[in-house]
Amino acid sequence: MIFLDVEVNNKNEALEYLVKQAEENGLIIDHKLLLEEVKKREEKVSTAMEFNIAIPHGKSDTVIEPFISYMKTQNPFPWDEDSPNLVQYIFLIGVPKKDGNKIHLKYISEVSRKLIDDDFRRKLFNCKSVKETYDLLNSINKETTI
Amino acid sequence: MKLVAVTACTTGIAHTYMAQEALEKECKNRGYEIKVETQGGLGIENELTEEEIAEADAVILAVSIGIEGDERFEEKRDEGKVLTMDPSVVLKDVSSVIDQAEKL
Repeated sequence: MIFLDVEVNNKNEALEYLVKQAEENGLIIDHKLLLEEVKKREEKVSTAMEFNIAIPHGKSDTVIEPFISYMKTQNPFPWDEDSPNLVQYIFLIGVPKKDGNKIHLKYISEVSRKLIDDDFRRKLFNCKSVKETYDLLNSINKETTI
Repeated sequence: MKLVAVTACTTGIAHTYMAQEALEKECKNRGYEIKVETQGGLGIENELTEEEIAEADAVILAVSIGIEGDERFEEKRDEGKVLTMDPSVVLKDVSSVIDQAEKL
């Protein structure tokens, strides 16, 4: 799931938007349960990192299959009090308590790794359409072997 | 410089692998050798052998949970060659992590 130029201005709005979309798309059973787990994780250590990226994630039985969804917000905003960095690119990751589909997990780990890569980030930030973003993120899929 | 590392986080899905990538990349830039074992949602991958650990100049444990096989590093710990931190620290400033490992 890819959402571009979404009008949200704080962490709660962003997380709520993403978990509700996950529920509508049948990836999770109850968005409230995942939201709770994701927030718990954020309280431990903020998942905001450099480069305006945050990768909130949660592990819950409400997740049917491991998934990763991506949102670019219209404007960067402060993620939380712990992190000095503004956030504009958000990857929400959900995994079931029992590990689930290994190929999905592998893919998610590959996406995470790619975010460290300057070239990849530049390409991602330059994507103008959902299609373009999808193609880029999907190219990781092709590289993934298990 | 020869390093070994283990990365692991509570959910085992994002930081484990990002920290791995960050460490490998920084070491590549510096021309150092590193092998990073990941303990995440995919189980243990790239497992470090006793020999590799023994040969390493320093050990970096970027972990936020207890890891499997922690006892493998006891000898290195006695030598003061083990650096432990949260994976998020590696993501924030990998360069100073490697600097610290160098000084051990």
